[in-house]
Amino acid sequence: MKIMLQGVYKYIETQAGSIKLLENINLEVHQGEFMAIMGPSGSGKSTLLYQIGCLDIPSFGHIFLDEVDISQEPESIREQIRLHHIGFVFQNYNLLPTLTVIENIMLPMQFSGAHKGERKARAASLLRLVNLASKENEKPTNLSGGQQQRVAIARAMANDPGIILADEPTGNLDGKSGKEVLEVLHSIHENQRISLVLVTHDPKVASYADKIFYLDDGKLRATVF
Amino acid sequence: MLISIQLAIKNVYRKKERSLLTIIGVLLAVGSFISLLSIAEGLYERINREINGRKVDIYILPKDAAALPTGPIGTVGFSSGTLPLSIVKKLKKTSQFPHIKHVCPIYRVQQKIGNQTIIAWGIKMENFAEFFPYFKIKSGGRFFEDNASEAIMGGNLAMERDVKLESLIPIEGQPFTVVGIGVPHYSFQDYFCYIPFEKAMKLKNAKGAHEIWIQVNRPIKSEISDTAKAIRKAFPDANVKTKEEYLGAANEYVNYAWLLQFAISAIGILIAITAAMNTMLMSTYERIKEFGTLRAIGTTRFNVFFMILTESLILCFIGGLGGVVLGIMGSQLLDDTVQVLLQLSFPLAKITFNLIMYAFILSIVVGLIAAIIPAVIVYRMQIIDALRWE
Repeated sequence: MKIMLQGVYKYIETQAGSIKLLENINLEVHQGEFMAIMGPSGSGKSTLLYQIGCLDIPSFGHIFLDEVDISQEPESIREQIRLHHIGFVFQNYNLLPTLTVIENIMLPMQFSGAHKGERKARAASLLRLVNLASKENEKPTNLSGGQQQRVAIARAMANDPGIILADEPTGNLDGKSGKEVLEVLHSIHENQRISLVLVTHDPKVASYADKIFYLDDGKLRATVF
Repeated sequence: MLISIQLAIKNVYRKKERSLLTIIGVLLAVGSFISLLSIAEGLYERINREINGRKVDIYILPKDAAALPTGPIGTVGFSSGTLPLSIVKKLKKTSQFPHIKHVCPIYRVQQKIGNQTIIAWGIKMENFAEFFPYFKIKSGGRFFEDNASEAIMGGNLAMERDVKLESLIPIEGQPFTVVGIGVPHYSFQDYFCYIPFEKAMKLKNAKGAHEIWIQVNRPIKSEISDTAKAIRKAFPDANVKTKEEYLGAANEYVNYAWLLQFAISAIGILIAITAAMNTMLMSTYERIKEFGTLRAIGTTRFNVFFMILTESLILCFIGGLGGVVLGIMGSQLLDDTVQVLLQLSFPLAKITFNLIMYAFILSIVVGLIAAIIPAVIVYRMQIIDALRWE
């Protein structure tokens, strides 16, 4: 899946006036590419990721997903894009505590209308991929942070997306767990040629990427290949 | 849609104590709704059965009489006014009232037995079959004779007081032999006692009747209204009502009672709505981030909206089910209390199918109102705001 941002601006209105979060962002992520977005806190990294992930629309500019300008699409289409083409991994894992590990992974498949057998088989296979096959019936709260993040990665993979967007996926993890999570993400990217966009402020994490964008005060400052 | 229902069910179990308290709130509201309104519903049904169970086309009452059938008003305090018997004679003149078929004077006597007041109806034997066509005597019994100290007991009254055929009952100090017991008809008739008209008048040294009932030859609207008009003209001091008018006026009283009882139960309903809405708001605000996550992974706005609505409806439906059970028990308790307080010999409350339907509709309405604000909040919330919610 190819992603292209053209002249993207994002403003928010507050009582104090308009605040600029992103300014004239132009970038491309090609099919199977691993891209990292780095920058200090408040630089607009997550905002940019949410624009790419159809979670928000830019104030100005265009975001193309395989030639489709998603910034112009209605919410109903953007919901379908998120469901079928994009996988999200959050810093706090964001698993549903009332569901078991396997139910969490099956959730996007249920929303996309996959059959029960198909859902179970795919969820079991994803659990093997993230080395958590023995934990399928556990509740997320019984797992370590690293394990929860691997479940979140499996969930992001559920509907076989074209791109995975990870927002500080190792931000809440210790070094060992963080490394495991990164290795899982890297292995998925390597073996399945899924595009991966990762937001981080950790240069070690960013070093896994093919391309690194530096963001500062909402502007792209540099790109490293 | 199914997954939204599954998630809603799981969330009901998530905070069991809070869910239970909400269910109890709805249960109490629905229970009190059913208990209170069962009195008005029972009154409505019994009055309608009572009036439709008689073959009376026109009622003539004293001017100050309330338009309620004898049953409920009888023990609460009916008009002491009477109508002179000369009216009966005049009504029987076919030249003036050509459509009149039968005329039936009624005189009621109240008799206190223990802590209950029973009503003895004085009615002429010849009128009994004409005006109470559905009244059947249990086998072994018979109708009374006009000048005898004999009585017929309504089926339920006889059962409650354990009265058998040939036993004696006192009315105004006079012994009356029970010669017949009615087959229950599920109306007030089952709780009354019937004695000869003249005997009833003599017990009170009365000069007139409490009511005069008219039956016309052909019970069609024009014949009934023409006759009523003629009676009004002939007896301007009497209160003349056709069966429809009488039923309408009686039901108007019941409607007021229904509204009053609904207004009282509305307090409970408002409390239930507040409790359920509070639960749903707390539960929703605790899970804003989860809703954001669900939206981020592709759940539609409608699915999230539906999930909150379903959760609220589940809580309120369970509360509604429990409320129906509580309401049935509460209705019995309330009815027993009302019977003791008003010294009634008959029950008023009745749990009707309609009442149970109203209760379920009410619990659904409570669920919808409680969920609508939280559901709209989540529906309108931006995904990024939800994901950043703390």
